[in-house]
Amino acid sequence: MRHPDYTRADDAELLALTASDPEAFGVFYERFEAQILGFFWRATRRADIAADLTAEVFAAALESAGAFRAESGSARGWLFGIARHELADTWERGRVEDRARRRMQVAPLALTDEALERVEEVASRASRDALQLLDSLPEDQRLAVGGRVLHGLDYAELAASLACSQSLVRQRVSRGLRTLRAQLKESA
Amino acid sequence: MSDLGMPELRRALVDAARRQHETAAGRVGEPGAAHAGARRRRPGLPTSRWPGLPAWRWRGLRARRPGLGTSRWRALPAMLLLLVSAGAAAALASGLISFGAPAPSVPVFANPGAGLGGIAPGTVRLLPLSAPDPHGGLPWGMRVLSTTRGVGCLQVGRLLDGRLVALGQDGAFGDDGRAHELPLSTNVERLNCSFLDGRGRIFDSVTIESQAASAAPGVHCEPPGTYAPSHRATHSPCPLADERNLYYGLLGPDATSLTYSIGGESQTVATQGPDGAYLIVTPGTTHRYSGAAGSRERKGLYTSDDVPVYSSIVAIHYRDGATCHLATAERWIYGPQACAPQLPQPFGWVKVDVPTHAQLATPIHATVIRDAESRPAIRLRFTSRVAIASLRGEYQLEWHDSGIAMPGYASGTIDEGPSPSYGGMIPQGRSIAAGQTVTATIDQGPVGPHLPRGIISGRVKLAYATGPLIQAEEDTTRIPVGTFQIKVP
Repeated sequence: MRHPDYTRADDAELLALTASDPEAFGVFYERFEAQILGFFWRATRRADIAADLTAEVFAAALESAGAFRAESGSARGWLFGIARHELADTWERGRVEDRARRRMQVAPLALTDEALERVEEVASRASRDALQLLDSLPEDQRLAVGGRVLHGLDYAELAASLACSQSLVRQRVSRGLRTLRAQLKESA
Repeated sequence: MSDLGMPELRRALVDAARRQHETAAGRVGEPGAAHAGARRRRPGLPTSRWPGLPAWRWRGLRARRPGLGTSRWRALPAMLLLLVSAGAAAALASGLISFGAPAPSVPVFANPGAGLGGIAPGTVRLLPLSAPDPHGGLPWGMRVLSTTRGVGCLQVGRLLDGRLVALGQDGAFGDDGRAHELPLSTNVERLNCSFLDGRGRIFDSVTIESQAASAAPGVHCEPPGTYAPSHRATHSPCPLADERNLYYGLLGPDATSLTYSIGGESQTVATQGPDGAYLIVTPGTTHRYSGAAGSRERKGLYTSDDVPVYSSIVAIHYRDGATCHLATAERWIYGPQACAPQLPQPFGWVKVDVPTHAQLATPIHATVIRDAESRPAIRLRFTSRVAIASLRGEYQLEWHDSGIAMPGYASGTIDEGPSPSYGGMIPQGRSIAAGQTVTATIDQGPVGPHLPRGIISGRVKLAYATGPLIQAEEDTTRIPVGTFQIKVP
């Protein structure tokens, strides 16, 4: 079966299309898998936990995809919001939730050694690349870009976290990303 | 897609999305699809729920994954022969096996007022149930107990002289060949617990595949070649013949029998006693749950739920002719939709009394304090108007600052002091007396190092489980207790 080309669809469109074409969610998953895995990998340093948490996050996202409203914020921020709460749950309870996955009847993962190695590679690569780049930034920009890109915080959350205004946070993120782009051009 | 870390998850999610789509379109009438819709949380951001209420891992799928059903039970004739001879073998064995030191105990029931609670006096019962081992030797038995905090637990092991034991084999107890009595406070690997119903009864159904025949807690066999060469073995190597599949549980007083199917052949067995107890032991199966890309992964399966899931049990027969035809052999479906035709599950469950808002409502006092590093923090204090004496209930706190609209922005369980812990597996929380002052401190922002300045609002609720599953989100009700608002300078 052929599916439409969703490469030009933005993240919110993919979530909206999920109700009519399940494959759209597959593309959404492809876009964010490495970032979410990397997020959990940095937090836990455990490939199996990162994999379980990632599965739970995407199951929860699938469950609520129809309720996502682009006017409320980015799909990326929304997804990372789910991820942060799943991580908070895990820390608090000392275990990984699987309720969304069960509700959506998403089968538990087959985490073979090979699968875990693959997960670890993807997660650590995403994490390593991002952290190496971030380390080159000044402190204020590093915190802002890290919060925005690695942790998926929206500007209001970042402002609260860094105890400064949203406009200042936006400025730091913008400058930081500009610096990173310049570095990437140089290295290329 | 080729660069994905978990391509199988992508496939599973798309399949789930497809089921969701088909259900919405009304094209699927299967129980699982209907159930997925029936039990879904209200639409909205997942952050709108109280975080921190995950499934309790050992009330859920323990091991990694169900996969494709495979050609199980090809050795059925041999197995039946062994079943017939098992009784004689057990009798012979009981005269030959001597007792060694008891298996180690762990403090899972150490505190009557915290966690699972202590063992309630007079509740420990060895059920009149004996299942032959398919390869002979000691039969298997089951024991139940209840705790001071409203929890009931099941334990299984080999039976010897009226005691539950584990055997010194398969790498357990130094392969000493002796019987080691299983303590009541045993490893959680050999303990399944759930909430008691309104009449103090246990309803639980457990599936364990890949269990060593020794019955030793936490010991699993790893037949040669199970894992990739890079895998660092954590268990003793043993042949597949030393593995068993266990299906056991309590189906309630209305259950009269159950039917299980092996290799296409069905067998109906009566449940035992007023608990509706059952215990089925079969030979271990390899590749019952195949891993991705034809891997040799077989870490085994461990589930427990309202009804038998991922098991060979296909039907439960109740008094008055009702029958639950289970649709759970390869999928996780629970609640009423687990059965066709639909039946309330667990069947015969008597509801528990849930505290009301009128009983719980109390002022929440908030003050700004300074933490050890002179940073602002919020101290909350309220008086519990009712006793919270069960693991079912726990106060929870939810708060957010004015700059962030997300409800449930930060939250956590309010716990009065440290509780005994065991490997992160045991739910925490302490019993609270009526009239007791409860305190909680908000001392850091959930996304940053500091508590945000400005107006902080929040509320306290009582999370209360209404079903048998411990920490099951869909069976937990939340009753408002009180709200607070305070300005952090």
